[in-house]
Parts: sequence; C-alpha cells; structure tokens
Amino acid sequence: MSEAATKTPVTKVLPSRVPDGWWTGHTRYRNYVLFAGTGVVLALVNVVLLIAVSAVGQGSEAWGEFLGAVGSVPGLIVMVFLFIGTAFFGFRWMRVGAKLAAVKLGPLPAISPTIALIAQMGGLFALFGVVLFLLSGAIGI
Amino acid sequence: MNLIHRLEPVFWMLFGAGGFLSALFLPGLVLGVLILFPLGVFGDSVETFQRMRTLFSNPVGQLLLIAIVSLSFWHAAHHTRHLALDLGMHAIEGAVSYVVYGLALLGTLAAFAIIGGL
Repeated sequence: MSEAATKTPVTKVLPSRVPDGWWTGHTRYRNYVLFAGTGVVLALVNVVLLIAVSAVGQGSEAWGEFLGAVGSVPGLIVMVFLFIGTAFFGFRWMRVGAKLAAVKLGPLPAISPTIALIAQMGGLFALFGVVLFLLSGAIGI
Repeated sequence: MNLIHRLEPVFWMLFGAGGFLSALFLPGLVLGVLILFPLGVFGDSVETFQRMRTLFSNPVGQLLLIAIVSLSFWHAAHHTRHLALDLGMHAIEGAVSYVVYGLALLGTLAAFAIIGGL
C-alpha cells in the first residue's frame, strides 16, 4: 500500500460561519440559535432545582426561605423566563423528534408528519400533566 | 483527532438522553416547583415541604431526579458548545469544550451528592 493511501484523509471544507444579518434575515438560523441557547436555560433550571432539593434537605425552615426567594417579584420573573425557555425547548425538541419519526424505515410506510407531531406532543403534555398531578398531591405515592 | 472529538459519540448519547428527559420532565417541574409552589397554588410551605420530601426521598424518586438533572446538565453542555461554534468561536472550541463538559461533570457530582443525600 502506498504512503498516500495509508495517510489519514483530510476533508477540505471551510469552517462554518455565521451568516450576515442572521438575526433579522435568516429566520431558520435565528430559531436554531435560540434553540441552542436553551442549553444555558436548562443549566440554570438544574442549578435552581438542586438549590430547591438542598433546601428540602435542610428542613422546612430552609424550604420556606427558598419559596420566599423564588416567590418574590424578581424571583418569579426569572422563574417565568426559565419556564418559557424550558417549554420552548420541549416543544422544539419534540418537533425535531417528529421529523425523525416521519422518515421512512425499510418496507414500512412513512408516518405522516402531522400524526407523528400529534403523538409526540401528546406524550409531552401527558407527562407534563403527570408531573403537575404528582406535585399537587392529587396523585398520592 | 483530540480527546473531545474522540469522545463525541459519548457526548452525543448523553445529549440525546438528556434532551428527552429534559423535554418530558423539566417544564412540569419548573412550573410546579418553581412557580406554583411559591405562589401557594398547591398548598402552604409545610404541605409542599412534605410533598417534596415524599417524592424525592425514596430511591425511585431520587434516581429519576438524579437522571433528569445530571443528563440535562450534559445536554446543556453539548448544546452550549455547539452554540459557541454556531456563533463562530472555532478558535476557542477546545477551551469552551473543557469548560462546559467540566461544569456538566461538576453538576452531575452535585446532583448525586445533594439528591442522594436527601
């Protein structure tokens, strides 16, 4: 085998670059960047959830203080922002999943994108409801 | 090929698993624990304290919450790394990768310590 054939092939492609005026002129790119930006929102949500669980571990007084902090007006504004971010993420993630499910696999007929979207959104909102029912105490464990 | 690129399939697996768990569970948890609990919609602080303890002090609840939080951290890290690339930060990809995945590892350890210790 020649030396050239054994060398690791290098694909010559230009590095991707941000399109000019993407925020106003490229809706798809802007929405994609917003979706990728939800990574920061999810990280913040997880940090706040860990603080909440830590407060539960410290006792009812610490939990009451935690509720007071997130229930204040600035706290609630931040929490509503985090909720909008996670809800946008969930909706968009499921939409991507629906598109993947609509790909034709082998001899099976392709699933209609509409049916796939309804099924996946149904799953998303059903579990959303279960979580809220559990937290409300309507479903006892 | 550097370490980050060699581990890309592992990061992608964690990203995918974290994405599904986050999409399915986080909106409900945020609305319930971080908005409706403080507003008193599901009872006062003593009732919600008891409910949180009941839900997350048993092994099933703990395992589920640890999985949601830790995998969601890895998902967020991978997404943030690619956001940096999308915004043209190719020159500092290595540094960004080590920072975001390092933070995800810290978040995972914190999740095990805090939730597991409940």
